[in-house]
Amino acid sequence: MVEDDASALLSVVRRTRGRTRSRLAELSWLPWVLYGVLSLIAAPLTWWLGEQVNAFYWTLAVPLAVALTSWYYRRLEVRIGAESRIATTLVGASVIAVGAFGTGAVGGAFGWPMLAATGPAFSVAAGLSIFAVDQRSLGSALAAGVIAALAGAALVVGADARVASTAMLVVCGLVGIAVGINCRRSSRWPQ
Amino acid sequence: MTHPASQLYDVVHQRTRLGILAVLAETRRADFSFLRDTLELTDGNLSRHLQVLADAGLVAIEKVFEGRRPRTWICATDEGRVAFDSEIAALQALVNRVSAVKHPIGRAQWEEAK
Repeated sequence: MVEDDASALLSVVRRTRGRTRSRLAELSWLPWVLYGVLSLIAAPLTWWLGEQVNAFYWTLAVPLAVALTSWYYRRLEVRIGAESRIATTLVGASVIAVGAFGTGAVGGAFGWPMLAATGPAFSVAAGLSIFAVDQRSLGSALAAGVIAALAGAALVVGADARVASTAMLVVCGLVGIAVGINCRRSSRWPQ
Repeated sequence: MTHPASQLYDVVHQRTRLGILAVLAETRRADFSFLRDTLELTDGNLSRHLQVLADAGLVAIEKVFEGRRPRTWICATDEGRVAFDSEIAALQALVNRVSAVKHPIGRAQWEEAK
């Protein structure tokens, strides 16, 4: 019967799309761990040397991290024989980069320390939400939720900007490393 | 109103070919072995279905040499992506139609009346 056939075909498509997405998502362990480590390195810099040093650090670190991540994806995608769609990744990464640098700069320029402290975290959460929807990734969704919730809590309780900024970096770092390790453990690809 | 079955496209409305387009919908391009392993097909079977899709202009096949190794990359054409999306929409319409016939007063009320 045509209708039964339709239902069976739809479930084949759903399974196949899900399997493809999860195979490609396994590759993302390196960016997760890399940005996690970069965030953890940024935490003591922010705590002891202040926001300006933190901003300078990210200005240097982000281009290097993007170059390394691009090289890694290119190398691995050629090896496994599938290339990810790049459009959504670019949108998500742009949201994070523009949001983080923008809120940091505006917060610093206008003397709104809590914007500078929590804006980057909200930007990271927004970018991760885009990845989560595109890749149907529970890890990205959880990471986005945790980061946004903590940034929101810091705003609500009116935490000290330096404490909030450092705490956000530690949280982003730990979440990134945890998700990356989880991806790496479930990966079936040669790295 | 036309029956949703009339919207189905014969070339795409086949389990393996729909699977190939589903993988390609999630990627920019995939090579022959990735498709074969993901869909658990034999080389011959995959080749035959890829040829049907290529003849219909729904996928583009590119054969290259990487070093000394031959490699076949496959990507969905714009027409292929549109055909895939239309097929999914038609299949979903069919399933919804059956659901509406089975539960004409709405699922919640139907459950309550039961």
